[in-house]
Amino acid sequence: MSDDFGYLGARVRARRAEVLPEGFFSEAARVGFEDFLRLLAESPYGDYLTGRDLPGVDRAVSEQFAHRVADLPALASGDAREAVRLLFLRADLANLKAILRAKATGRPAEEVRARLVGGTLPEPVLQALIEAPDAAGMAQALVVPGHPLAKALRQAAAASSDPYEVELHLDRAFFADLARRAAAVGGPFAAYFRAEQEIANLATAFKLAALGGVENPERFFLPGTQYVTLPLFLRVAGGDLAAVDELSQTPLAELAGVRSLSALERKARCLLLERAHRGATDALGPGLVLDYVRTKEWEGARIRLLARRAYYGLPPEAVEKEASCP
Amino acid sequence: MEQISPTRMALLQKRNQKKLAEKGADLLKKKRDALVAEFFELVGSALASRERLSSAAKEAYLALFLAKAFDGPAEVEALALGVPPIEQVRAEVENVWGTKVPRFEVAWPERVMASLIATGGQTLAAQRAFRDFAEALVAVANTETRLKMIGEEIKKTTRRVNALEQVVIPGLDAQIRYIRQVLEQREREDNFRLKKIKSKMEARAAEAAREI
Repeated sequence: MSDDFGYLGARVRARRAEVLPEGFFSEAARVGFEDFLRLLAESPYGDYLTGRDLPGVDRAVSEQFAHRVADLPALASGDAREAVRLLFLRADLANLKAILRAKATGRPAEEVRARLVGGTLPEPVLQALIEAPDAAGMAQALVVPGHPLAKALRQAAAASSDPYEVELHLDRAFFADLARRAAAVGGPFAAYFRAEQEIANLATAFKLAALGGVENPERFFLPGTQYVTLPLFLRVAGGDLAAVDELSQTPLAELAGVRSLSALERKARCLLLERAHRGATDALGPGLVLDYVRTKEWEGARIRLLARRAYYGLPPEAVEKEASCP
Repeated sequence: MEQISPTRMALLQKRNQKKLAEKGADLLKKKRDALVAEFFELVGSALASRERLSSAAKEAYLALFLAKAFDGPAEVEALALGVPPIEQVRAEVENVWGTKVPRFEVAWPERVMASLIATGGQTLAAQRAFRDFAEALVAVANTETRLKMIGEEIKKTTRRVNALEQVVIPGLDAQIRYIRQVLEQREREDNFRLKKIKSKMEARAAEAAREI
């Protein structure tokens, strides 16, 4: 597989030069919206900046990501392509769920199309998904291009006809499939996805705790996690947030002590970013790509956040905690 | 002044009308006092609703701001696709001192279709914050519509009281005074006439006595 990643690694190393330096963010955190746009126009995002408003910034971020990051699976072949594709499956999952929701609430196709994010699904497949009559029909449309989520969607559609349950099944099947495929790749790549699954379980438990009790909380648990076990998940979901402190002796020790979902997400974001950075040394595997993709995602989120801060004229301290990782 | 026949019957009629107008003005004043009390009671809750709306809006937009930054604008908007349309907005009509005031009740969707597993916490927080914002908006619509309608009714009632006290009752007073004056004048004329007749009759009787 190392040969498959050789060319891809070289392309990624060249593109890493375009990653915005920390200096950009520290300057962007202090300026007004006009100056922010000027800074962005001077960066690699400048070519994609068409409007001088927030949607214009959002468009520039997503288009830059689509051109400089989302095309990576197309630059590889074989096993490397399948491994890199895993990094973009989340966008496919988001698209499938958007289409499922629109079908359940009877929204028109044009409205759905406007809400779809990048992902790996080609245009004709997306069109077939939108035109499919139901979830089973969508699963059928995914089978033809051999998409990894086809089986998950088929299982979800077979398990329930309630759109909410289908979405829940799809999420569970997605994570199970992702864990299996990432484990087959191994190395820092697999470790990253394991950490992501642990954090997904913990975040779900916090969300359940915020709802104040849900029937059968275990159906929200993603099996196979080593540190966020089912008993710990159930305790946190039941409102015992201090149970998180049990993670203090594990590789997820940074998360011990959090008591709110927003604090958890903030720490988890930084922890996952650090795990992805570990992959940067994996020049002959997908780790380098993983690091690049997650770095670019984080860069996009920071640009969107700082653009909003500047647009609404908030002080730098208002977003300081959210926009940086210690 | 309208054409009035200055009769005793008309005087009684006008007196009855004045009594009725005074009773009406009293009742309207009582209604106005009750409406003013209701109005001031509502002002407190309307201010509280406005404050709640403003803080809910601030929280909702901040949550949306963070959700769009971290989960991406498209993913946040995709969640909106799962929000079923509001099925029913009912307006129940309440009677407040004879004023029909609507109270809006919204049948909010029970559950928004979004799995808790892969949906970002910021997006879910924005969703919850916007539901609170929508509920606060309906509460403001309820209290402010009520306040506006009661305020209109106070104005209308005040106009009616003023019309009765400053136009109708003084008008009736003038009419009563006019009828009374005419009747008194008539009475004086009758007295004078009777006195004249009496003196003529006495003069005739005296003349007849002298002739005898």
